[in-house]
Amino acid sequence: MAVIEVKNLYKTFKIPHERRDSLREHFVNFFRPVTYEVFHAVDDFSFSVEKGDFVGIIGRNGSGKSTLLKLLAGVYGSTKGTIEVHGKIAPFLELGVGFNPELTGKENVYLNGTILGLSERQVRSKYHDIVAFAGLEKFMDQKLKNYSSGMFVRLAFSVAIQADADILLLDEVLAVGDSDFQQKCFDKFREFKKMGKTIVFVTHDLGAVREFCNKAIYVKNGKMVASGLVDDVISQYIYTDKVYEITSSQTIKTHGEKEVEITKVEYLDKNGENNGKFISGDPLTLRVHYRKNKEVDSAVCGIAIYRADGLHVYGTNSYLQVEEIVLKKSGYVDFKTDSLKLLSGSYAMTVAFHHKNGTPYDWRDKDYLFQVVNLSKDEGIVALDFRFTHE
Amino acid sequence: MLGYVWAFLKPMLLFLVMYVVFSVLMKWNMPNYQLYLFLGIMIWNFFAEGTMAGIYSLLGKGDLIKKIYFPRILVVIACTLTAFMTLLLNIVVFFVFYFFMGLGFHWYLFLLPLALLLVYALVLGVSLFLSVLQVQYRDIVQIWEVLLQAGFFLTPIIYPLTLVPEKYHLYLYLNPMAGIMQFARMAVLDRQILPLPIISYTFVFVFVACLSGFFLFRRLSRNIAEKI
Repeated sequence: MAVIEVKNLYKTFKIPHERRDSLREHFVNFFRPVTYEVFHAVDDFSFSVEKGDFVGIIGRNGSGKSTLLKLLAGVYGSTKGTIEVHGKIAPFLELGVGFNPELTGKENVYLNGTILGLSERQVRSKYHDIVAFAGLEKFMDQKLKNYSSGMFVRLAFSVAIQADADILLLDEVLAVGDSDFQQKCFDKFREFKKMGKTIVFVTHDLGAVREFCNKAIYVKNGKMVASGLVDDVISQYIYTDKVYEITSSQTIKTHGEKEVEITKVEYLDKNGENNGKFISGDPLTLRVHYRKNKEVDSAVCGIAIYRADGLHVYGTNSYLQVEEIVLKKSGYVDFKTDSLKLLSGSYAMTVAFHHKNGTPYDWRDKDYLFQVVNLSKDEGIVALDFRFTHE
Repeated sequence: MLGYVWAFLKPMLLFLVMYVVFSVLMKWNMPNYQLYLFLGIMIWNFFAEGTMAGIYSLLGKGDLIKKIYFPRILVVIACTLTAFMTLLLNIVVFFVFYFFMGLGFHWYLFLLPLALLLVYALVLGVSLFLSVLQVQYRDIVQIWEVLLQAGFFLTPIIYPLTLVPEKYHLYLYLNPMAGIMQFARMAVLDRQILPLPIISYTFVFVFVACLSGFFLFRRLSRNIAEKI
């Protein structure tokens, strides 16, 4: 059964070039019409969420994710289209809505609980759970303004998860608290999932999407680019979202007289498209285009990968793998891997043509940047494929 | 409690000043002028404070409105009701004076709640109307303050209506607060009912204000979250 049914939903913001928010300004500028920039934050969205679905909404900043969530929560009115919601919604667009710093922690629990739709009796019966979950037993009679920001968020989250709703809308609230508390939150989400609650979840954490969600929606510039199974959507997100165009770093250090010149470097993803962002474990082909400006008696093409902070991660060259390459007038060489064994991060690539004795022809030091996104929770730099078993 | 003391002190102080000026210095002679003035100031004070609270209600609770959905009208109702509670407490104080001054119970007193409801309805209607406009035009409140100032003198609050030449009464009653004010005070202090045409006009005015306020609010509050 569909609990959320969205049909041809539009949300358009009119952003005036000059803000007029008083009668006086309207009066003074009576003969100058207001000119608008029309911004389509949500442009023709249609999807449905079934009961028990855990839907992840992914996309870049400003792509319309949060607007969509606000529309679902009813905070924004739609410009066109319909949203049908069956069931009680608890929106967590921000934690601690209505928290008052002048009141004590305890009073705020009651206040916030009420705002989230709980009755006073319900809050009273859940009060101990809330306090225990937040781990703030000692601080409940202190004024909220004396809380640290971490305590504030923990308390807010603890109240929020008690909200007795069938549908939860979460906007990046996972990114709160220390790792201990995050773990608690994740456990709570698993519990929600088991209880059959429907959750719509906006995040940048692709790992979390893959772990929890059974559906995903990829949003780009206000358009729904893909929706459906998580792995497909994530892979589309990473490989079609060309924000991370292959960029040249600003401080290029090049050496050499350009006897052999590097004209272009391409990173080809598993679809054969030039990209600057890869999922860890996916294939990658590094294609180095060159032009021979002068006859040379030996040519080696080499690459080296550095982490953003300069740590040398990997290096290889053609001479180590085959004999010398015979260069044409112009052409390209490929470095191919079936599985990019790097974990999340930004990396810089050095690409060079040089003589086998080391004399550079064209040496581009850490010139080409690319990103790797790791969907597992592994840590470090390299994906070493350790598998866990136990007897 | 302390909040109420302040809410009470303000009209009380205004009352004392007016009383000293008009009764003691200008020697107006009118039976029960203190009570007449006191009741008038209480009701006007509620009208002024209630509408001001109402106008700011949406902006003041902007944080909430931007983050969670609830019927937006609740904010306006809540803010105006707070002011109304103060009025009710003030009315209790008024009756302490009333009986203290030796005035007795009579059946016309039951018209007072009706007058209070009427003034609340007017405050709510005006607040609904102006609160959504205030979000779009931030200087509405300045204009309203001026109007309130003028209204204070255009409404028979400090002066008895009898002081105004008869031929102007009709114009004076165009202001619904004049009707409500007279209605309340004539019932409580003079044991009389305001002439029916004026009552009807006042009722219709309040009803229309409420209704149009409600519809404008409903239309404009749909997209209010993005404008705050």
